[in-house]
Amino acid sequence: MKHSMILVGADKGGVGKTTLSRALLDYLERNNVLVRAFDTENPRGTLNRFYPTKATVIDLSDVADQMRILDTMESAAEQVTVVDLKAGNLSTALNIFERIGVLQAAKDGMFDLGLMHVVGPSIASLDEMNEVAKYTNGLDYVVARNFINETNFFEWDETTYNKYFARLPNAKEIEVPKLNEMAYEQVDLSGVTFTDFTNNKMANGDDANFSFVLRGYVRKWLNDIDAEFNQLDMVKSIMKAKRSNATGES
Amino acid sequence: MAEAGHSPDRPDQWGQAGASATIVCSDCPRNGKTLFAKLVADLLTLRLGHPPQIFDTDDPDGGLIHHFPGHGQIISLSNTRAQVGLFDGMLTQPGAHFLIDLEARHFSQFFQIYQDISFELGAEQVGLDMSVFFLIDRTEASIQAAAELSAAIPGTRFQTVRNAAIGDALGIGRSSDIYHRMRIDREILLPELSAEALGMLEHPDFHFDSFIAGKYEHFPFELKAELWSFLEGLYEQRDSVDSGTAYPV
Repeated sequence: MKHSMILVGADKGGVGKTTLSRALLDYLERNNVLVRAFDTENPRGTLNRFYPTKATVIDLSDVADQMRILDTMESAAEQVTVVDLKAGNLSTALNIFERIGVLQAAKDGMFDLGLMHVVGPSIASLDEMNEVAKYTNGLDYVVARNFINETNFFEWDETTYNKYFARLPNAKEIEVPKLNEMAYEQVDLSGVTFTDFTNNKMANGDDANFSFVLRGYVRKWLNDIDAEFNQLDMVKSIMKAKRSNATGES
Repeated sequence: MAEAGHSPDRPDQWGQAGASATIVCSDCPRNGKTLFAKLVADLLTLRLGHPPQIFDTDDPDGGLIHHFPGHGQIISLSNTRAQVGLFDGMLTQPGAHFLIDLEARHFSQFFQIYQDISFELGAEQVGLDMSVFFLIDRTEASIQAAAELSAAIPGTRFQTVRNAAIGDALGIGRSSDIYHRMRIDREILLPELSAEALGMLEHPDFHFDSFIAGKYEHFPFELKAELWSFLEGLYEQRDSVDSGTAYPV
């Protein structure tokens, strides 16, 4: 079984990086894909709060922790590894992965490597795309535009929009739709996964008493973001590998 | 009468014992919506013995709520907390009956939320019978809006209201074709009322339960006769669907 590793990162904080990681983990779990996660927001961890048994908090600058991700990939039961990169650490992380040969290994076909780069509606955030461009050759590069405040990502300014989006090299784009603020906060407060929230379940599996309206908003948002994930080659590849694995094909 | 997709085994929100929520709406303002909402509330009062819980979306002033003080609230649909109060409130009060007077300016937003959160599913799970009364305005666009809504909310009883006082849109363009193709579970034809009768219905203190109880015996005979006729007409239209006979236009 070929393993897939998906990095989720941004060089700017507050653009919805961990939200996208959570949505991705939810998506994979709902599609019965075995997945493990690493949360590099050490020491506290953010992803880990929602996936305490699935997400391990690590320090990516620590060699032992680098080994925990990379040296265990082939032996892991999980088909997919999701790494939620610490805010402001995307370029650094990519630099580390390049230095220790991870990017080259992916280019050589040892595993599939994807990068979901979350950008918010600011020039500083968009400028990151140029900064990471040198690392994206040979990996599935996805620019996730997060519509956190119903922005239009400078579509009103053709020059600016084209500068960043019209000629993105080797990149796919997805849009992260806006989730109702109150719904988002309720999920956050509850410390459960999006899926558990829509199913009205607490983290321990007990029945919860979440608002039907807010659950509805989250369900709609998940449907919308699922549709975005479904169009990605990296996701298609994972689903195909899962089906092949289930039918015993090599 | 329109081709009715009414299913006889579906309960009637005016007479059933279980929980119900009735939405009175239109895509356009000033076509008698709030007056009709008051009539529905009055008919529910006659059936239930008390007014339904009213959600008045005419924020901040309120319209219908002033006819039923103490029996509901004004809500601002632009506020998520109020949306939670409205939709969750309907799902968490077993056996209660609700009436939503939906302002035309909130029409699209309300039904977008209604669909986004799959409210029909939640209502079905708790046994809340959902129905809509859509007041047809005198434009083809209004009939098109009704047709689109009817198709978008298949789990909600869809009833059209044609108000003779504002004129008939069915003769305009493709209106008649669109109208007769859409799913309509019931059609209500509101006759045009005299200015005196209309003024009486629009008065916050006037209610049909009091009228039937004889509180307005001092009214002129002609006015009383007109109001009786109007009330009976509404009842006949309701019953005509259940019995399979059309209301004589």
